Amino acid sequence: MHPEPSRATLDVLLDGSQGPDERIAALLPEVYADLRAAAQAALRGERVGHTLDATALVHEAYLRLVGPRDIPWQNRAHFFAAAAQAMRRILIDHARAKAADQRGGGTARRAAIELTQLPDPSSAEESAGFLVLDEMIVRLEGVDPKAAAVVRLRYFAGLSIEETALALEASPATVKRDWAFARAWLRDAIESENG
Amino acid sequence: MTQPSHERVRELFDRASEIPPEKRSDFLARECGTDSSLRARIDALLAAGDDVRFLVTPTAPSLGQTRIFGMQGLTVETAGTQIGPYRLVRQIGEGGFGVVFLAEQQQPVARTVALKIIKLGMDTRQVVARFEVERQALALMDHPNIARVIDAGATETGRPYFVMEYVAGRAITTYCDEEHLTIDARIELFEQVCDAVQHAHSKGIIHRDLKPSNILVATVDGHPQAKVIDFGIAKATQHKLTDKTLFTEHQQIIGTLQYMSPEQASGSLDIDTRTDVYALGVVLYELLTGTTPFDAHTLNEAFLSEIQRVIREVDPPKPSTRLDQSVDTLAGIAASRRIEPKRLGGLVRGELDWIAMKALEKDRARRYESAHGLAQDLRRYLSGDAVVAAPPSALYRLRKFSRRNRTVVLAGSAVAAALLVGVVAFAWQANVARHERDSAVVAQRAEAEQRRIADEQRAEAGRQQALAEANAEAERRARDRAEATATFVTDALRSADPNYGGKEGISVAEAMEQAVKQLDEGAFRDEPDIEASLRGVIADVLYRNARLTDALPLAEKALAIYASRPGDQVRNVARSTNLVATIQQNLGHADLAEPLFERGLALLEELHPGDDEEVATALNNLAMVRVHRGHPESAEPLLVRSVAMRERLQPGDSPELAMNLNNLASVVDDLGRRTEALPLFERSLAMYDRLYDAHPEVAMALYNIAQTYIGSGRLADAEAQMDRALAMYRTLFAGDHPDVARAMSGVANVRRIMGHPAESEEMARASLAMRQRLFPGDHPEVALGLEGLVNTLKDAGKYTDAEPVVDELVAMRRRLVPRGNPNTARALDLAAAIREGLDRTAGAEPLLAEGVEVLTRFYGTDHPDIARAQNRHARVLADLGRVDEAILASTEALAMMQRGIPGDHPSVAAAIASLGLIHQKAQQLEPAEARLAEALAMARRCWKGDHYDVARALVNHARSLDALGRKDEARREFDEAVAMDRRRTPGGSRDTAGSLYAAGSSLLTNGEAPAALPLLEEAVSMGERVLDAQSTRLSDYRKKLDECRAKLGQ
Repeated sequence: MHPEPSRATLDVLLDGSQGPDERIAALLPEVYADLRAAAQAALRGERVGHTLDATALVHEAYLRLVGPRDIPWQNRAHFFAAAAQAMRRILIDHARAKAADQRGGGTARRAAIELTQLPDPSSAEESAGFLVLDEMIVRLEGVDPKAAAVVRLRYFAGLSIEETALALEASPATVKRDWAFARAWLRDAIESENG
Repeated sequence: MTQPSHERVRELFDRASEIPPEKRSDFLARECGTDSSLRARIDALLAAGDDVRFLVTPTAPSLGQTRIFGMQGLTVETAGTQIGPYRLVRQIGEGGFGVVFLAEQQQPVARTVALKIIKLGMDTRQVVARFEVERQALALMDHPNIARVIDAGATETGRPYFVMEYVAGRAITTYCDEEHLTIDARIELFEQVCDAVQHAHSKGIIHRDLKPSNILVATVDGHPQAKVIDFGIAKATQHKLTDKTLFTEHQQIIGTLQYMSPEQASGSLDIDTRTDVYALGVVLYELLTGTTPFDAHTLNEAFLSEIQRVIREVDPPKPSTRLDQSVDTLAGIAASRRIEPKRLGGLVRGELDWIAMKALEKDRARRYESAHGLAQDLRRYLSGDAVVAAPPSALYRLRKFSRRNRTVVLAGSAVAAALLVGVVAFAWQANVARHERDSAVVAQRAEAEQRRIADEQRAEAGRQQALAEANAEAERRARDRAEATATFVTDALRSADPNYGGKEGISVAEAMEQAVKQLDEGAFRDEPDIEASLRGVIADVLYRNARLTDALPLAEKALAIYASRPGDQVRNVARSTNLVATIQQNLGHADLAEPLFERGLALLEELHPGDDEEVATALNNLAMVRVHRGHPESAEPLLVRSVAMRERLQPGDSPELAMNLNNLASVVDDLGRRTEALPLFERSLAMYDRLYDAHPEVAMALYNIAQTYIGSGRLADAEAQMDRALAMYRTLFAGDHPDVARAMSGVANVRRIMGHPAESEEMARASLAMRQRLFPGDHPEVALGLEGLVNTLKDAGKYTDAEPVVDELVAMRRRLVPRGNPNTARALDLAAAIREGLDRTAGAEPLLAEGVEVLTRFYGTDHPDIARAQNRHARVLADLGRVDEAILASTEALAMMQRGIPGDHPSVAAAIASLGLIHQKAQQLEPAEARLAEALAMARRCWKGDHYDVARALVNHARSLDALGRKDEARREFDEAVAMDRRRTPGGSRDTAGSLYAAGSSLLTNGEAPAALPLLEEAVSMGERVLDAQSTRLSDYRKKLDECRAKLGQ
């Protein structure tokens, strides 16, 4: 059987009276709790060096919390925006605990550069690298908020270019450009960061 | 140094990213100038962006696993877990909807099995229940090439699992490639698969998910043995297929998209054994070519609805075609099949193509009836028998499919395909927008309702549900509409391609006609925006295929629909207005096009009060129509504005700016300011040269500048650039191409003017033949080819050869534009010239009168061309002895010319000369001399140096002086003309021969035969080199020489 979809999540997604930010704020607690449980379940697996799969986690959370319903994309986008935010917080919590004494420094930067997807929360190095990356995403937001938003949806919620475009109401071409720029900017920022 | 602004950095990064890496350095050098910190920043970012590992695949939902919202399960069961009587040993695979373990069964028998656990998200009870239904049928299957399904159940975590015979094999495609199986060996192996599938079908089991990873091959006793796995599983886990909303994104996709039959892709309930035949066809295709009919990359890039559409509607290339296209990978594909790359395509072409394509038919009724039928045909192929897949007419059709058709059809398809993308995007956007409105309305209604019965909580829950459903419905409708639009256009296009079952020889334009018919029958009656957009697209396709009269009503209808739509359609109104205008202009109705272009421009300017690309383009278009209407002076300021706007919008080089400069240069040239025009042309050409290496627009700029050099009398420069233009076009377009043909005409023209009649004729004929191959029937391009050939023949004096050509030219022009336009007038003029050459001046006169009429009707006002035509008519009238009419007409012509162009101008000088020559013919010698003197003086002022016009004016005036008996003055001017022509054309030319002849004749008439002799001798010998042997001019020269020799008693 399908897990019974969460009423609260559905309500928020279908409530036309709320703005995007309110909806995301309202969705966050439930999405967060669910994603956190799922991430921990994933980490109980015995495989060492296992990286989390953002796509799988977030999409499965969607199914658990919403069910196989036809929610219009515009509304669903709020879910994924909330999921991206939740995912980031979970990862930061994990990473901080794991990499308490490895923050900053050349090793962390190298690890950040080597990140291809979400970090392996059991690895102190990748966790430290992740924290460097996150800090850079925050800085990117200061100079190019749109590019940063694309990174968040792509990296933390695992959305494809097309899905990101739908969520941000932009064209796929724009999202592609933002993504290319954000990658280059972050990569460069991590490398040229001193200490 | 200051920190570069983020905006600038971002802009340059984006632009640099879009150009090829090898061109970036130049681009950045231009853009950054001396700002080295900006340059360093961009270089650093571009280098950072090249790191292929960093964050490059944050999601990578690759095809075959999850797509959009598939589910990637979390594995809880691991090695050692006990599930019923099975103990998991290790994970051996992970697929679309399951994880596969190697497991050990202890009870009732100890054996090794494969255990597949279906990922979360399935309704376990239903899956198991459905499996139970099939269990008996599955038990009946007993075939060496089928892996048996033993058991099914639910794990403790509530997930369904299946237990199968364990097969230690590799996917069939992997096996074949790694073992380097030849095509024949692959087919033999594939027959095993067909047999297995046939066996299952005979027991009532359809696989539904055949794909290489479900067809495992192992080497047994030295031979490959295939085993098909997963029978019964797709059926058991496929309940979503019965759900109408199968393809809403967040549901799991059953089967892998690449192997999915069209009926499965459309979510049909009605799946039969022929679905497996289709999947077998895909596997066969892959075994032959190394790729699936729709490659993973294409499908992966597309929206889900687009994927469905592709599977249902797009015909894949034949296997041999796909191999031809796999240039980069062909060597590897061939090597793994132990065949030379160049032989592989030939081996597959024909029978194997037909077999694979028959299995892949969209309409299952046209596929093989059964897997057995497919296997049989493959056996026939291996044994050399004729295959049933071969359509009886296929060979015949392939032979008949002429090269000419292919060129036209493919060119049209490329345009149409580009447009199709636009339409789909448009339809999607339009519908998303409409959908948003719909949902807002629904939401408002729901809210009002909610207030009215706020206390009833149960009711509220119901409405939430209804709202969700309404939203889903709206979204589904939007998708349907976008798809309907796309389908509509593709269907129409597909019917144009004989390769895909379309009517043979049908052109894109004819396919478009079918589309129009459907539109007229109301296919999009309820969707005026889509209808207008489609009509616009079809009009554009027809326009590009030179079907102007068909395109026009469509474009007009599109415009009318947009104009009648409420709200924000200004841009579409402007665009369709411009399309109508463009078509009108091409139909020769510049008078109708101009006000439309003006309106389009006004609308766009209203939309964009400042600088804007579209406005710049509209300015350019309006300018060009004014040029065509004979008002270059009013075009010039528009082009100046357009150029300035573009320079502000995008400083530096751009193709649009180069094009605008080119147009401005042409206009300035038209206005007689050649000295200003040349630097503009040169700037445009230089810009093109920087922008592109070899490019159609560079070639066009070369062509234009060559034409201007011709006009400036710089024939050597003209020849060099025209040759370059032709060479560039030839590298750009292999084989026949309109631009190649045009450049060939250009070269023919230069050669003609330079006095190389044989080379010119050869080139002109080749150009015409190419145009006729490219554009069968009546076509403006063919008319231009005819015209070029007539000019060449005329100049070579081959009037007899020219006559049928020019008559066809006139007839074609009349058919193309019954109302007539300057092209018609030019053709008439040429036809008259040929009549004159054949000494049938009386036959020339009505043609010229018609030319004047056509032009007067066309321009509706004064125009230099009318004046020129009238003068030409006047000269013939004079030849026919109708002196009074002639002088009247010529005087009127001169007056018109002077009204249009006050002051000195070569055209005015020519008009004055015309009147002078008519006086001369009428033996009115005094006024003749006065006019011709005036014409000479103006020509000298216009050209300030050696020029064709000046040399001709000298000869004309000298003759008039001669007639008046002013011999010395005449002699001086004849000599000057000869000297000038010699300087202009050092190698000798028709011009020099002509002036030598004129000078010699004058001397002879004046009794100075000894002085005349060397001139006439040279005229004849030069004429023999530069004129055609049959030329009447040459015979005139010879007669005069004979006369001279007779006088001298030789």
